[in-house]
Amino acid sequence: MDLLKRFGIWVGIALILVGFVLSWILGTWGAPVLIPLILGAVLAVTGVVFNWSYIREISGRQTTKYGVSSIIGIVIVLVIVVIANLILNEFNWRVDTTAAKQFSLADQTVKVLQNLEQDVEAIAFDVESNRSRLEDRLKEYEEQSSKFSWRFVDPDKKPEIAKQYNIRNLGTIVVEAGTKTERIDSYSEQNLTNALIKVTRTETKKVYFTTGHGEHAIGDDGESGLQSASAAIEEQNYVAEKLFLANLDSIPGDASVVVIPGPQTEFFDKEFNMLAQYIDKGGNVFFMLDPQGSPRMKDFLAKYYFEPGDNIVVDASGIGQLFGAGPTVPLVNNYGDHTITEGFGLMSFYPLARSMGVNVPSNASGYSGNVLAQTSRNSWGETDLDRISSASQAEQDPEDMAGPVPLASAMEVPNSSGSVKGRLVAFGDSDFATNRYFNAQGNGDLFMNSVNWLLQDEDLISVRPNAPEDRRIQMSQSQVRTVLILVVILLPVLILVVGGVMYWTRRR
Amino acid sequence: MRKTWEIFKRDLKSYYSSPIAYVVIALFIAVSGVFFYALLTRFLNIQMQAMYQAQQMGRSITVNVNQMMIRPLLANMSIIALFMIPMITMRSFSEDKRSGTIELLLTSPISNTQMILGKFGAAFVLYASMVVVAFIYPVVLMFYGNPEIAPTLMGYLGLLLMGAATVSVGVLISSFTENQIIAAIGTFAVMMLFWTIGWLGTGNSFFADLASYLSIIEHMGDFTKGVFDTKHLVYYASFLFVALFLTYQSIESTKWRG
Repeated sequence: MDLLKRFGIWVGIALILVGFVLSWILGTWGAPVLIPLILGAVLAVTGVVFNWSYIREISGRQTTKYGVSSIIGIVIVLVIVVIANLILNEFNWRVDTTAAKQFSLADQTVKVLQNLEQDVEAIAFDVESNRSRLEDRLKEYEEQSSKFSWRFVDPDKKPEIAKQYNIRNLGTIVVEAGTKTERIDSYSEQNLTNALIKVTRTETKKVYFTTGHGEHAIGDDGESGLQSASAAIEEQNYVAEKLFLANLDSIPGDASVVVIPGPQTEFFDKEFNMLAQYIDKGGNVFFMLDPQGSPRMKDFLAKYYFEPGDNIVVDASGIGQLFGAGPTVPLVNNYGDHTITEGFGLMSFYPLARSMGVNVPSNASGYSGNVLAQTSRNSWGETDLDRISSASQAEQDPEDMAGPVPLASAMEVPNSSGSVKGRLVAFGDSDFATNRYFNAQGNGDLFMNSVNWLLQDEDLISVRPNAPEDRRIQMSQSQVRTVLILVVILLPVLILVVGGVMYWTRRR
Repeated sequence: MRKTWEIFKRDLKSYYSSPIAYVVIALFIAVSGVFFYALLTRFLNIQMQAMYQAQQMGRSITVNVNQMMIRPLLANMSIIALFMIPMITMRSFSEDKRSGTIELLLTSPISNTQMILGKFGAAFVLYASMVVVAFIYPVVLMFYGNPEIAPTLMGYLGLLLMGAATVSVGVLISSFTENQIIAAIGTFAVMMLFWTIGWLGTGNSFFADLASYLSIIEHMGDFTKGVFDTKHLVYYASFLFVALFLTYQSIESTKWRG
């Protein structure tokens, strides 16, 4: 009883504090937190009851009154300071004094951040030594919006989080908003801001895949299906859907891209008209046209200055054999100069493909065409199709297209007023994007790059990076040594000598 | 104002006539100098590699003395300052308490506020003179290159503001005790707390945000980058105000505690 009287209040307060600390550390209000809290409260209250007469006695003293008023004063001042901080931080003024404005975000980025309506989190996966570089940028983002937050994860230290987000490369940033995620692999402001725009926009762009002409189908998870391709599209927050043209009068208005994945039978006139109208309004179409047949689709493409060849591309370089592929599976590691293939370093291959070149005549104003992928020199477009199928003994003849053979091309098509540009991509093959080949080499990446370009999403905004200025120091080894002696030895000694002189003169 | 000035002069004179001030400044300059030398050789190395890569591979790499050298130097100096300031401020009230002159001051017509401001001012000016001497480093760099001036000045401004906040804590702690060693260690312990609390500030919880907001070093970050933000000004001013207000309460309490 005596113990309770003497220590009850203090032990009780300590237990209450322990309870709060535990709740912070454990992040719950469960039993391990509630037990010390309740026990502490009981002890404190009984302690007060037992000591009531003493408390009454000291509360009457003058010093207690001073003490209480002093504590009240301190609490009031603290509250005022906290409120002042909260208010003033809302109206902060921030200025970047570096000459290159290297810590300033572009106006577009600031606008995107300030218009954020939902919480967005960026999770950066990298090694600790790269943290500060990233921190400089992400902190500026955080500065602009209370809805933006970020965290840094070292995949070596927290492999479970890296696994949860399926991180394969260091330097990946996952931008997350609600259920949508977007991943980028560079720390550039442009990529980061574009990712923000993509995860927060409410409209979802639709990619339609035509059906009804023996095309590969998106719902099909067999070898020749497009399940992998449509999954990759949905992973980027787009919607992939089937489109049965024969039932419709026009391409649906919400179509961002129409994919024609290797039709085996011809389109009807009505369907071609729908496509032509769609392209004229600035629509985007992805053609995949296998060799042999489809003369009408070939003509349709020719109207947009594509050059589909009546051939099968034979690759005699022998590289294909490394992957167990014959000469009719041309391999490509030579890509054109285009946004789709910018910085693309992977190989891609196309089982049974026809050539797909592009040739814009000089009088076709507003059109711009590029070859995306071409085979090695050691290949040609074999026109004698029987020879390939019968004996696999194809040889290059004078009438065959000489290598390098273009296999895929892209085209920008102006509409009748010349303002809006539709985008077309045509591949001389459709198998490359099927489930069997999608994840092999760079096939899937090239397919997705093409889709992204068609979606006209690859550059929502463009930001010139604010690189720091180049500022150097020119010093020789002997100068460095002089500086070392000056600042580390001479200067402190000088200060001590001055101090000593001052001290001794005063003592005298 | 005049009375504040008197206290300020008296304290400052006593600082400069005691050997401690010179030892502290010399120590600060020597330790910072070692960091300066290490960062300088590291930077010259990076610069050499960049030059080599530019020649060999035709890839030009940007090298910036402000970001790669002055910025880490300022960050290191702010930590060294945290170690040095307690040695400056430990005399502030403790010396008067020990020698008994505090009684004279308390009974004189000088108000507590004037006394506190004078004492704080003297300790801060001593600290500021230390920072001014430490400006030798960018001056040396200006001889051999062209570092940017504005971000460098920003960094030193940050150093002064952070120091002012730390000095105010030192003055507060010294008002509790007549033992200078206890005053120094107490100040150091409190500042260590305000430094390390920032390490709790990872994650996105309220407490993490609070912890990183309270951290005295966290607010230095933008200054060392060369970015000025009124937020940090508000923080350091609040910090200083609260510490000096508590000092006022502490001095006041010596009157009625008897």
